[in-house]
Amino acid sequence: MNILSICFPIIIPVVFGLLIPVFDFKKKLAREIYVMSVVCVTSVLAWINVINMTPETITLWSFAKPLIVALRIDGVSKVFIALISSLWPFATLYAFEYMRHEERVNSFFGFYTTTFGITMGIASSANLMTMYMFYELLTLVTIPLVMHEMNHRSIRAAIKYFTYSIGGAAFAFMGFIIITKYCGTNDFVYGGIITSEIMKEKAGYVYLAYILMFFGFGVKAAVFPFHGWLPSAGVAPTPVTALLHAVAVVKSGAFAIIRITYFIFGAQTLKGTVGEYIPLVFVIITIVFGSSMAVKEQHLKRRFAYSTISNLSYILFGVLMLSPAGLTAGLLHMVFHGVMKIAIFFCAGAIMHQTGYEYIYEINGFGFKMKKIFAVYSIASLAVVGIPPLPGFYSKLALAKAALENGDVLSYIGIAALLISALLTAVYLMSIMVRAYFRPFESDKSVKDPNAYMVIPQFMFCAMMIGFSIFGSYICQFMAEIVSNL
Amino acid sequence: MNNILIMLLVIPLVMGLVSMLLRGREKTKLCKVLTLISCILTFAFSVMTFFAGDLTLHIWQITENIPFDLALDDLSRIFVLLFNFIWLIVCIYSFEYLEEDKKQERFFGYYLLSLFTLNGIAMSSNIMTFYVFFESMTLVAFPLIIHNETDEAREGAFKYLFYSVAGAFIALGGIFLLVLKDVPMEFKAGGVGVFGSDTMTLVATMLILVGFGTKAGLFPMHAWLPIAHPVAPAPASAVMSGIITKTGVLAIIRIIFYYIGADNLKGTWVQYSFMVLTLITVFMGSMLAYKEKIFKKRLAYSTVSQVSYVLFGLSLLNPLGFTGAILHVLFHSLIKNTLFMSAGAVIHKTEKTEVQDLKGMGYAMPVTMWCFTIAGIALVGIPPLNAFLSKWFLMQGALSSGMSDAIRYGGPAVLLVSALLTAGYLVTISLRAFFVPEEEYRLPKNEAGFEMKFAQIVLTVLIVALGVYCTPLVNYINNIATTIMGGM
Repeated sequence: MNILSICFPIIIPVVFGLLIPVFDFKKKLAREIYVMSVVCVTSVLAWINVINMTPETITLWSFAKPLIVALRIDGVSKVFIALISSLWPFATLYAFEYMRHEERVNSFFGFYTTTFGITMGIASSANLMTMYMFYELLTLVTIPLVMHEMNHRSIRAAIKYFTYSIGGAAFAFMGFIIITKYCGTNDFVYGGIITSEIMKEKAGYVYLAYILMFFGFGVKAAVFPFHGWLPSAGVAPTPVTALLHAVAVVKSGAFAIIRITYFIFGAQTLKGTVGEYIPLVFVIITIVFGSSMAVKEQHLKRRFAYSTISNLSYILFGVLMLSPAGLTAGLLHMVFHGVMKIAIFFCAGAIMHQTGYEYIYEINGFGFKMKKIFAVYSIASLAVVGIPPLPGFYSKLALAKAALENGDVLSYIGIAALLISALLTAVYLMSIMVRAYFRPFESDKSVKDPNAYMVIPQFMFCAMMIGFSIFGSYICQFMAEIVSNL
Repeated sequence: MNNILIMLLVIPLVMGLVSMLLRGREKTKLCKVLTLISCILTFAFSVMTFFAGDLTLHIWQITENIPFDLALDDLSRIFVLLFNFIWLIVCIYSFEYLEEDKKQERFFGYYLLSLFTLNGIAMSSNIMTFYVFFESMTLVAFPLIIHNETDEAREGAFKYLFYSVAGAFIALGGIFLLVLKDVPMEFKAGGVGVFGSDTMTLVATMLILVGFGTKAGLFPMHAWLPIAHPVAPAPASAVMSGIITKTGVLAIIRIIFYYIGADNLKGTWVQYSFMVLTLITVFMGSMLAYKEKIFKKRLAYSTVSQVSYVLFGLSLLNPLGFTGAILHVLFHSLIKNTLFMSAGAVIHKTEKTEVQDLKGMGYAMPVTMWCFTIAGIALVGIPPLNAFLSKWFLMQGALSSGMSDAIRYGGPAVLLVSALLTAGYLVTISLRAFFVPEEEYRLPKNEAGFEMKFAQIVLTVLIVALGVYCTPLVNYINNIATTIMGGM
């Protein structure tokens, strides 16, 4: 594969995205056509890569040895790229309607589109250096999105987000230099680049480096106790919360952890060591903690944010099983949760957009007024809870299987945590359905479904979920094949 | 080819004196043209040094065994290029900044004289010549600081003078202790080879490090820097922070690697105490910067911290650390000059000096604040901007030094904490400048003029360009490192 086809999905959205504020579109239609064509072209190119690309490393340039910017698309990248590039066009369509009454729309879509390219960069990185670079850039381009409202609350949230992310990156950087020092390279190789000689001499530092990097990248994946930025960042407009804080940004964190765990350190290096146990304990805590906080939270978007925190740790739990089955389960949950959570967030966004209500106790009886939205919400939340045959069921089953296969004490505790969390998930998601369907409507506003811009993406996500549930076993197999082919 | 050395000294010396003669004769325009021409010429000569090979030039004999010599080696070339380039850029900037000023002739006169002494420092080939130029630089930079003639300026300038002279004398004391033994004065790559690790040498070295460290803002002699730098006019603060602090670094490089010899210091208490001092400075500087409310003072504290990154790299006494240190000298100069010039542009246009007044400045001065933002992000160390690379080499150097684990892992940890604080004290300014509540802080557009924008943009472009591609530079510095430290 040539250099251009791998670079285009990164360069096109970055360049054309940054040009939006320069063009400063005055007409809404012109802007929408422009943004949509950039996003669609990128998605199509990305999908072509997913289908055609062979895992070859393409070196772009070198800062200085061994700091090289290089790209490569392998199986894991393809999963992430496919997820992102399928969701982005629909999320953009939704954002057109949502941002209709907002100001500074040009700069919003500028950064929104740029983020697409940066995320692609994270997915196609061939070494730690490249991933770290895109990871830092991701923080920088998403800050303006969090800050979009520009009131004191959103500025505080953005500064919090910035502090957490840059702090996390500093942790990760520390691990990065230790690894590069000992290995002399930082390329991603399945099975890891840590040789047995290094383990003989420096085992302690290798574990230290892993823990530093796990929590460093874990900041974006909202691992307890570094989760605090995510609920606060909910002040951003809903397309941002939905796409970035449920999919692109947080899953970049999870993706980075997959990369370091399997492609830098290697499952064998970490298996059964302190490097596995400490992160695993925090991941299990996060799973239960996130769900419990979600039950307590009365603000719609913040409740879903806590739910995301919990679900991200499902992915990390799978990853930390350090087996092909665990990785498969993690990737499955990454994809499924991405689609389910974006649908749920978009429902919350639709409610806010149509009525301005943000709290759960304000939506009594909405179920029969916003029929389409709540139909989607019901399917999506049943899927997140994990009712068979909806997609959440497959991924949770795979997670539990991987944990059983692993078979040590922490894995069993983890399974218990998954079950408790599933129960709590049922409580915090279904209670909203109960309010919407089984309480009398009492608002004095007129409440109705939003227009097609918002409904079409929702239906598409629904279709995806149903597709996943019909072809669930095939997808599980397919994912297992990807992992075994790495 | 020896002409190059002479020209690098004579042009700024003569032109500087001429500008001062023009004082009070309403010849400001002529003075500006002279300054610009001489800056361009010296810059051209500094580029030519790269094609000239190693040169030496004997000027005169002060006493029988104290010669006054110049020489050009790899290290001088880098510093000469840096000094003359920044001088040219800041010169262009200052034309606009000082346009209302009554005493421009004096400023430009001393500005050029400072360049003369800087070139002398970079090209000195023995310790006495170096010391002569170093002392004269202290003196000719004094009028730049006191230029505004306010009470604070006078106070800052005297503090500067006091500390600098005290530091220089401490260093001189050390030099006396060394030359007591009747040793050669010439610098030689890898050390002159007559020193051992005896107590006398070590004490002398420590005195010299602390003494010359004063100019570089090293704890415990740092206190003048945040007072003196901000009171000067912005172009002067920029070169003080960006360049003149680096002469302290150059002095320390010359002493450690070209005079005493790095091997003699390895593993001694001097290395450890020097390193601890640099780490204290790194942390303290960024902590104080974080707390500081006045814009230029915050930048000055940041200088305290960042120059000690460089000194930390030197204290590791290994090639990787050295490479990181020299890279950070160059990159920090570019970045800090940009930051100070942006601060100066804001002050020049709006007279706002406190950090909290900068809210919404992104709308008023977009170009200036974008340059500030890029430079600030670079200083935090985010790839692909330049300071990422220098920090990378510094940390690799720390990890590969043969010292105890506390230093090998503690050093990088301090640097990282400081990088976080850097993000806290610089990037938050940018965030507040661009992202403020509607209506409340929307300022009318009030962008700096062409010269100011030009200077900032040139440096910002370099910050990005050197971050993306600087393999030749790294190789060049690596060469120096291997010549002075062998295959260590």
